[in-house]
Amino acid sequence: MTFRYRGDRPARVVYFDYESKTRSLKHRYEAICNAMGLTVQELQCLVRNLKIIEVRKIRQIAAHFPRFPQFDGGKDAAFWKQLIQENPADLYVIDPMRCFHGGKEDDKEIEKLLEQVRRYFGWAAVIISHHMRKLTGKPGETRLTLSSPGVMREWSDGARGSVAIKAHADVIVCQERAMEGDTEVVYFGAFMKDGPDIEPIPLTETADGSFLFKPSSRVPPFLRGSFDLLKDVAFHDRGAAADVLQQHGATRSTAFRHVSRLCELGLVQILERRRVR
Amino acid sequence: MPVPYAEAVLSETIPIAFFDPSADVPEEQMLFDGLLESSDLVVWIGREKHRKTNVMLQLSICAAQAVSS
Repeated sequence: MTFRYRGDRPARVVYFDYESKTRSLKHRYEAICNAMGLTVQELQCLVRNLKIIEVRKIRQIAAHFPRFPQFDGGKDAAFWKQLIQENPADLYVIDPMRCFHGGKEDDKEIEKLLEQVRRYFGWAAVIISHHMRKLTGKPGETRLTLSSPGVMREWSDGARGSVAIKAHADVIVCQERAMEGDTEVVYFGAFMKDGPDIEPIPLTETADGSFLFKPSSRVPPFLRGSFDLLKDVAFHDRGAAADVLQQHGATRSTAFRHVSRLCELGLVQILERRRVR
Repeated sequence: MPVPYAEAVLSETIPIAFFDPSADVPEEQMLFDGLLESSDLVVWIGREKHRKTNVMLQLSICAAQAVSS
């Protein structure tokens, strides 16, 4: 995608996979690593830092893996506290929410769940995937596309417990797959409590079966003029790129908006210096 | 020396914390620029079979390798 890694070291990641079969997980994992061209040393780094807990497999061998507790106290709460303590991470990924907890998926229950997640996982970042209701196919249904900015909040209403999610999550990622001709396109966007929206970015697989998604190189019509002005020049910051657009008649706000969007879409690269902590 | 007009207090009986404007606040550890930082709670929404697991796995691999996604 187009998100610059800002950590000062590789992150420790723990991924709770509740649904994948081992064969499917291995296939996907290897395909992504191959497509990224990871070296032996990089693969070793990955193995050290990414732990994938196969909950489906644990349950298949009849071992007990309790659902995340709704209340403190009891064996399940003790299990989860110990699990987190023994597997410290900078990032936990829980996939998906409906297998993770034992409650309903209405606003009240999801609110309690998200509060409990914050308390148990402390200062780590936590990503929880959550299914949406199926498409109805009715005309006028909100879809994520390149040409429909500003629809993500409305689109996310299609998730169960969406009121609680919007109230308690710091970031809501919106992802939708579409077929455009013969091409599979995955639209990826996000909105957050404390930052600007990331309008949907079209992603496509780098090669058939690579499982590695990168921004597609299509230029939206409204950005074509700005793209043509910026495409062959390397900039060290967004201000310099915006200056070029302003010299060609764009207002300051339009110039920065276009530069920002072109960067999100991976169409313009800014050689920003790494921030010093 | 600035006089704090509010101080952080963690009572023994009632856990409570007041904002202290004079205190140094550690910077949040950014993981992915503009998307994810430490202590963020992220809900990742999408329909079934819309590649959520795929893209989350890709992001996890990138984070564990310290490479941009």
